Amino acid sequence: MLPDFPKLRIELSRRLHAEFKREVHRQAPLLAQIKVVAQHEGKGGSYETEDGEIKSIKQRRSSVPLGPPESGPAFGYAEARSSVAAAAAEMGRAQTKMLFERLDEEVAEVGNSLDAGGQPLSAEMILSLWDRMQFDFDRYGRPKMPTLVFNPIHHERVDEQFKRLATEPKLIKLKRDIMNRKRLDWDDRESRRKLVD
Amino acid sequence: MIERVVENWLTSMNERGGYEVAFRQLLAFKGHRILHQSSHGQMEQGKDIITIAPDNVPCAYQLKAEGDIGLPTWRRIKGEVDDLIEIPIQHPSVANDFMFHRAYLVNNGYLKDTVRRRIHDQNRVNAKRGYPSLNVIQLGDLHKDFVEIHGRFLPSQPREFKRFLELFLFDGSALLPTGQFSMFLLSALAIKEERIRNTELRRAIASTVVLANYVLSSFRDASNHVSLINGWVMVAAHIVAASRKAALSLKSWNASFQMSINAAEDALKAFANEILSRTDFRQGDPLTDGLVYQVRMTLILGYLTAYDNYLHLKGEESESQLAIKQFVETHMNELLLWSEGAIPLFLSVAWFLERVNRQMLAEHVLFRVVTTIVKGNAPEEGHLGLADPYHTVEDVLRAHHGLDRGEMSEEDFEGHSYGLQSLVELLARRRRRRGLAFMWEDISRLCYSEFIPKPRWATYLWYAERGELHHRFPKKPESWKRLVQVAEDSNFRQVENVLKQSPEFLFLFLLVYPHRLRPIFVRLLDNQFSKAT
Repeated sequence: MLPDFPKLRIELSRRLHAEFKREVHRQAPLLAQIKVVAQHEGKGGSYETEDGEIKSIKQRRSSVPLGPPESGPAFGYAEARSSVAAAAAEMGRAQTKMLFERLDEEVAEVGNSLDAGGQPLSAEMILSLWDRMQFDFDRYGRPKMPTLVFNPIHHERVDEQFKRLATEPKLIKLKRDIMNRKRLDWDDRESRRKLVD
Repeated sequence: MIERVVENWLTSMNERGGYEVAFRQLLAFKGHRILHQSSHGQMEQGKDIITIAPDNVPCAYQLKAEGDIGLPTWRRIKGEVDDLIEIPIQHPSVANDFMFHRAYLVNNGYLKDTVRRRIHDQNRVNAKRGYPSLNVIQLGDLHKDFVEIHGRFLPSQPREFKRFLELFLFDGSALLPTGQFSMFLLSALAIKEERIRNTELRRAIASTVVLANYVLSSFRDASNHVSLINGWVMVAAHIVAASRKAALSLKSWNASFQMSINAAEDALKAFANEILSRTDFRQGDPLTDGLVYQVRMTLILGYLTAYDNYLHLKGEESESQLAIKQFVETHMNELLLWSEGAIPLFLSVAWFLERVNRQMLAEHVLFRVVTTIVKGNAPEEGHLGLADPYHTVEDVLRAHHGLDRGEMSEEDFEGHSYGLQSLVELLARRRRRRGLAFMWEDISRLCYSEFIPKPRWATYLWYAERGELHHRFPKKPESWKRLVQVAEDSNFRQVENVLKQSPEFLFLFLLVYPHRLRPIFVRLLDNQFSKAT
């Protein structure tokens, strides 16, 4: 066997893996917001819906190759980090794609999708989307606004539509009405958190 | 190598407890029926073990770990040896008129010539007086038997042997590394093998008890009773797993199972004796002791009350109940719920308090745990939350003190709980509607998590490869009637017979395997406690 440094390399490997995870979250901030519940044993999972239906959780695997830098047999820590960062970016993309596929399936299942009919995103469409969604509110009564994911090429348009939502009196009123309705719905839902006879 | 390992084990121990369980297992394997084993403490009439030999002759054994016995040692132990020979065996299974039992002195060394001659002479005198002769089982005999019967079950693959030695050399003052110990038991019992002949499995079970006795010796030497309790309960649980997997008859494994449970009971008793004789519970470096003190006190309160609860479930009374009650009342403010892994300890304290008529205090303990969980694991509070029961206390402490979050850094504990449903049901059984109603808003925000191992025998393993993690939110609104109905459901068809028939084992099992705490098990135990109360 060739001379080696197993203990040191395990530590380095741990550190690089930690960097990998951090980088995945940096590249795909949406993933970073998702809570991770570890399953320590077994492989199957299920959950009960509010209607009492038991649904099984199908686990999906996502993987990306993570190899050494191509610079040669010898490389520095910075180069190893770059390799890790590249793989993390790929993982971020793969997991985000998987997330949206899953989301699409779920949304389709409950029939809650909105077809824009090829129209560009508008403030009215955003309001219409919010109107179909369930909102939660924080302890001060402020709505927990959902995350809107869009293609970066639409950045300017999205910004513009959100500005309209914040400035046009008609849209402001519509938004306020929707949020008031949502707050009432939320109040109603929250008031069900109790023990009854 | 195997011979050297066994010899090293036998010669290095300095008290009989070091090989007592293994020796009992040896006798059982040779066909003896074990009638009695004295626990730590005073011997009864010089007899540590009483058996019926395969030829139906009663036998009495006195175990020593004196090394080589010369005259001074002989003079010291002679009184006990005389009792062993001269006092007839008094046991319901031995006829009163049976005068001639076989008497054995067992020791992990050799007799010096002078002592051997004395025994020889004494045997001649005894024969004339109508007493049995003294037989001596020495190091060589023990060594030969252990190697012959169990030696081939010693780990032979380098990886397994390494694990075996690592456990043997483990720091006896630390808590037993449960995951590592389980790996050792899996391999000793060949649980992962697809097929194993029943005769082979029976031998493996017997040998596992002997090997466990060996690898747990560092904890025994350090009087680390909690680790010994954990170790022996794990041995018993893995024996059940292996036997159930192979559909072995109860008769084939019950003796080894009982020996492991008895060893755990001995350790519980020794633990209770130690705790009740102390007034100061600090230990080691004072600079760091305060950082772990509350965790230690929680373990102490949990295991101490577990001793009394265990005896109660067995239908026996503990002589120390009053002292334990006073101890709990004095120290219960020092309890700390460091993670969901500590819930069984709190349950033990609560069940004990109920049994000694401190109902309100018991319910206070239960509510305290529920409050800590619903506040600690409330969703979106942005804190770490209470770790799930899969993380060892040491992992949790490391994270808490900012040393290293290890695997915990990849998990979020908020929003769910493994123990909450069991606790809610316990309180519903006690009709604490107002308290629960007050907290229901917070309770309903947490998801109940429950892992159900598959197949059922995998319940007894530390880690089940197959199984399902089930998540469920409490109902909104929840019907009190329905909640009480579920909490009082006494349909235990899903529970293994071993656990139903031996609730005292189930109780210890949950104490050691907090990740197996499922509502159905807690209901079953609560039923047992209420029945007995």
